[in-house]
Amino acid sequence: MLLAHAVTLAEVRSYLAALADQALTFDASVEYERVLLQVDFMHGDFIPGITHIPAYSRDVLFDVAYAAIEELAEHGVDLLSVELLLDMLEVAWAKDLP
Amino acid sequence: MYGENSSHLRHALGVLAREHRIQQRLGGKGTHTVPETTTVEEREELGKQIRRYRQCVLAWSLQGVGAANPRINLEGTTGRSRGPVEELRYRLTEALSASSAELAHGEELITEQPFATVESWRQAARAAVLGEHDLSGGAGPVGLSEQQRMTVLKDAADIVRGLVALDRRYEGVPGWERLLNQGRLGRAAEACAAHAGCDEADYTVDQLGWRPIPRPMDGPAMPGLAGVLQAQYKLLLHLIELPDARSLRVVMDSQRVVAHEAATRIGDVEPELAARWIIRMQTYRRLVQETRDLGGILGKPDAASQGAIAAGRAEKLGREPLTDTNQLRQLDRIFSHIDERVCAAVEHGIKERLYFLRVPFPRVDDRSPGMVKGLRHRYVPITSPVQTDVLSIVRHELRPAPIKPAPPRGAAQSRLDFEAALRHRPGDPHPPMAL
Repeated sequence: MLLAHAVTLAEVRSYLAALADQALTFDASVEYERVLLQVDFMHGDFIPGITHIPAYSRDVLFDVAYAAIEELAEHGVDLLSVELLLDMLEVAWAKDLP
Repeated sequence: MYGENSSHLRHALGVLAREHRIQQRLGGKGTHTVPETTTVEEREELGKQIRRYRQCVLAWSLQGVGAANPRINLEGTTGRSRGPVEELRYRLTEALSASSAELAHGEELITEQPFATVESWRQAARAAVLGEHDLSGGAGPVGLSEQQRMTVLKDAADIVRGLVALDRRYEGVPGWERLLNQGRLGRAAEACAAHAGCDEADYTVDQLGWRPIPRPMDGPAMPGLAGVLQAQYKLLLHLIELPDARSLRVVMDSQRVVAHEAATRIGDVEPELAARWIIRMQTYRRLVQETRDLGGILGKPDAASQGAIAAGRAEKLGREPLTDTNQLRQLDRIFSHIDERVCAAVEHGIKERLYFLRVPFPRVDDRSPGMVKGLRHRYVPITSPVQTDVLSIVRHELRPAPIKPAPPRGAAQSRLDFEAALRHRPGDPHPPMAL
């Protein structure tokens, strides 16, 4: 894993964790955690840690996480996996309603 | 279990202790009305058979005394220097080695005997042989408290008292061989029983010992909450082995979901239980947050699949409230066991440095060979200054309150019945023996 990939991955993980923490519903929080688990599962054990994200709104967090997951495709992650992750993220977002 | 086997042993010996006129019970002559059905040679054979069964019971007693006091060393001791426990162990060893009878074979232990007396001896021998598992396993010398040791010692001493009393009664059987130093053995057993009986007995020892290995509930998924219980039980069995870090994260996530889904459906039926499960869900939510950076490749990955199945089934439960209190109690009990295993896994993983925390400082490894420099991975043990709250949450919030073992019902009654059988006189009323 090169540094650029690691930075993107750290971004994905950090923003997903922030989304899970700020989720409005229990189901959405569980779904965000599952996306995070799936990202970790794809990369094995050699992944960077989570950095605390300043308090943005959930929309911003979602957009950044979405873009970062899309960016994973540029670092050798296969497209199908990226699409599945994006789908899982959208499912979580759909449940994240007050 | 120790309680089950020792209770069977006491029951069988209690029945024997209430029998008199042994010759007659083995088919010998006794009264004019009952004809003699066995020859002297046959009764001699029956006597040998009984002595083989007795040998098993003696071996159990010796093991019981050894379990109660594993550190004694009989080398170079004399009658004056030995305490009551050592004396009984010495006399038992002496009696066992001096006896010409062998231990009963497996075939003899499972073949039903035509004479009720011999059958009772067989039952006693079988319980003694099964009891050997208990004394070398959970109720062995290692896992017993001082009071439990004394209880085992008292049980063993009482059994020896019964054997000595029976030995005197069987002297008329043709070819009968008395226990070596029968009187001294009896006195040692009396002294030991009195010594061990001074303290209050702790009958929780009855629940220790060998247990069958738990088997998973195989088969198709059961409907409703039973399916969740089935998956949770399988998860519990998989958690006997240490899960790897990723698997542990999935298990924590699944427990959060199961606790939440179950708690929302029992709010009206069992508000106390629902409150407890909501607290459990919140604890697991914090654990999920704290273990996002947990790493570690050692361990078994099997628990994750069962955890995911349990969570999936819990999410698919119908909207109607759960009203089967029996199932809810079972689920609560499984929750406690899973919490206990998760606590143990986290504690062990951290102590043995099997789980690590990822530190968020990705940087290029300049010292790696080759033109392309990769990411330098850094891991630190959880016990280092980069602490998380995982340990404190696990220790203070998740760990269930220790279950105080309660003595099983009938434990005291079984011993009282045996004591009554030992002290009885012919013609006494015959109380029902408790099993």
